[in-house]
Amino acid sequence: RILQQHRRRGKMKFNPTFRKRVEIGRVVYINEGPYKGKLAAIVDVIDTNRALIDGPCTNVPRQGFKYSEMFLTKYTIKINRSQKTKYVRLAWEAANVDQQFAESEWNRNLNKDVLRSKMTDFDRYKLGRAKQSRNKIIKDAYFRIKKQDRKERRQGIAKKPKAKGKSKSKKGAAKKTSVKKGVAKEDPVKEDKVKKVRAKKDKAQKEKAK
Amino acid sequence: MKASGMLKEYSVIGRKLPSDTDPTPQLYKMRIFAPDRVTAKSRFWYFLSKLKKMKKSSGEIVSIDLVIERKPQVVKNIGIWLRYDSRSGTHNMYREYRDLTVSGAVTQCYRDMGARHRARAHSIQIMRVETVPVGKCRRPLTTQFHNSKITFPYLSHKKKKNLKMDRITYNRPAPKTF
Repeated sequence: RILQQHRRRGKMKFNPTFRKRVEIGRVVYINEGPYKGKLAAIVDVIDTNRALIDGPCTNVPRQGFKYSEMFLTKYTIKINRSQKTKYVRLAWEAANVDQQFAESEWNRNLNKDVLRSKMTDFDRYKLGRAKQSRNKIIKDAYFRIKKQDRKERRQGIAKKPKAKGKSKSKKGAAKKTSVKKGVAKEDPVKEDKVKKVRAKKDKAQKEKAK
Repeated sequence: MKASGMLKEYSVIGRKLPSDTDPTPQLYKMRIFAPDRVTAKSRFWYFLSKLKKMKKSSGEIVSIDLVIERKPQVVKNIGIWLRYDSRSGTHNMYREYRDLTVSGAVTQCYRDMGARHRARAHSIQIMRVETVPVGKCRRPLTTQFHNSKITFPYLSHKKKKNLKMDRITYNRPAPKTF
């Protein structure tokens, strides 16, 4: 998907190592100074250390900024080199950057840090209990699947198609990874691992919000 | 001179003290890049006494104004002609810098000269500073940025530690002992 996005924009040959480039219109996340935590767009490149950035929709005045004090995001807006702030604003709104960023993983993780820092001891207790009950559900499902799998293997049924079907039938039941010895090879691990991490976060956050 | 922090551009005008023979002496203006007014005035006399038969005791500074950059949000290519003393002689140089302000570029120049040629601020004399149009830039380090569709990957996100600037003398938070 990322490959498609890059090719569609007609950029230089897609380099998987460097997916975000410094370019005119690249949206950046400011990490230092009075505008910390805000987004802006690169309007011009001053030299190898600094760029001229502008964030009319995020109250960041046009100024020179060091690359080491900001992070490149995956968003870009369509502007020309050193265009006026007015046109940067129009391009920013057209690309809907604020909304896109608000819905992004990055933003979610930022808020997560804020929440975590505000936790009281009671909240931590609640979180621990929530994690415990969630892990219990996972473990139960996992052992159930493992038992079934063992049974079927003993009966000589083909492993791969069966195992995959099983994991899909258990709704949201994610399997533990290769921590559990001996069964690691049969379990479709990768996608479940991601699901597991996401589900864990959601549940914890839900519990936390309570 | 100690080129501390960001240098500022001053427009210093001075003249010889009026006398009976010369009631309205000639005014001389210089563009001085200095960290503060005091240093600016000092540099003014330093240069003027080299150029004219005038010194601080025989003259007066008529006005000293801070020159603020006209367009600090436009990237410029700034050419600096300077003269500096090396360990074995004195040389002329032409250097180019890309910056938003002229005084920023001159500050860069002092730092650059210190780094590349070990030249101290007192041995550098800025002769001429001009904003150079794109076509007339000579250095590849500046012309490499003359690309309206410039794009490059950024590699290092480490911010250089500046212990001097990050130092807290007062209001130090209490240490965490657990």
